[in-house]
Amino acid sequence: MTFSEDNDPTRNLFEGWTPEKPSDDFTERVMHEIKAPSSVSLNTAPIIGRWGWAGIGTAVVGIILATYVGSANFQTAWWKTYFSGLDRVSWRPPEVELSATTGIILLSSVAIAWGFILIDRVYRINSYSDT
Amino acid sequence: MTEVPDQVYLQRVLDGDDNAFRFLVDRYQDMAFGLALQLLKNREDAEEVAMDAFAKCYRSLGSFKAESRFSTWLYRIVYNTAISKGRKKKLTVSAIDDRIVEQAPEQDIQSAMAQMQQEERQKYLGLAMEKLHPEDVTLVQLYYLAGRPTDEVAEITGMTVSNVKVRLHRARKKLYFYLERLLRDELKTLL
Repeated sequence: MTFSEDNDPTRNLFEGWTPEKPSDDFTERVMHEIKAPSSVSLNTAPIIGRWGWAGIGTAVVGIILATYVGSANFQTAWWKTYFSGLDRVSWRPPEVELSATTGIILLSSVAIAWGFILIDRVYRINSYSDT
Repeated sequence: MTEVPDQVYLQRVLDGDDNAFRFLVDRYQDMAFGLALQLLKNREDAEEVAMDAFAKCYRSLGSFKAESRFSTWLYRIVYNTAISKGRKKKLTVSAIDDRIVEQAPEQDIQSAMAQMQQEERQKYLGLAMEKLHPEDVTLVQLYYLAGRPTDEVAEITGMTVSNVKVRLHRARKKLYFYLERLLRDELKTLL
């Protein structure tokens, strides 16, 4: 026997069925929820969330740190000589030496930053587009 | 008096009148709550899911393309949210053999139920539905209570139409099986 949508006597069993109702203030609670300031849509939400900013911050700090560690005169850092005025006249941008240390700092900071950005994406997708 | 179409309220919400959403909540809250309740078997969880679904609808209204009915879209969100919540809570259901289910005397049960008062009939139906798998109850509810055709039920649940028909067929058989157990004494007097 197959399922048929026509002449289904089971429909008669459900005639006059009274559905279960939610609490009386349900509508008010929904309206309160949607009017709350925290309710933002994916369309109106800022493009970068807090996790995204953490990722960008990590990347920036990583790049600065790698530049500092990799600068040729690491002991007397170039920015110290510039701000103390000793070398301001002949000051040149730092010569950054790409060593294993700077490479590790750069790569790890970029990896951590990317992790944060991924968390940001996943969190936002789960929060707003679960439809 | 004809009912104002959902589209009118949706347009008003999109035009910035948040209060128009209230009419849609009033119109569909019973069914949304009922769907969630059958899946979760807990009033508080069901209210939370229904509220969450309405809020998600409201927030995503800009992306609603009206290719399906608003209610179909809403029920799909309720269904997905409830399934997701139910998965976390690991709902348990009893399994019965399909061969036993096939033996339920459907016509006798229909006759016995027809002689009952509405309240009594609903009580027995409710008890029998409680024993079904939550997803089967959802199908029964959407098909028999919300009066949705099988293609819309498929759209809401993400199943294929043929799968919906197969599961509805089995769910109906199981429903009669459980009704027979509940009505055993009354059926004896009838026969």
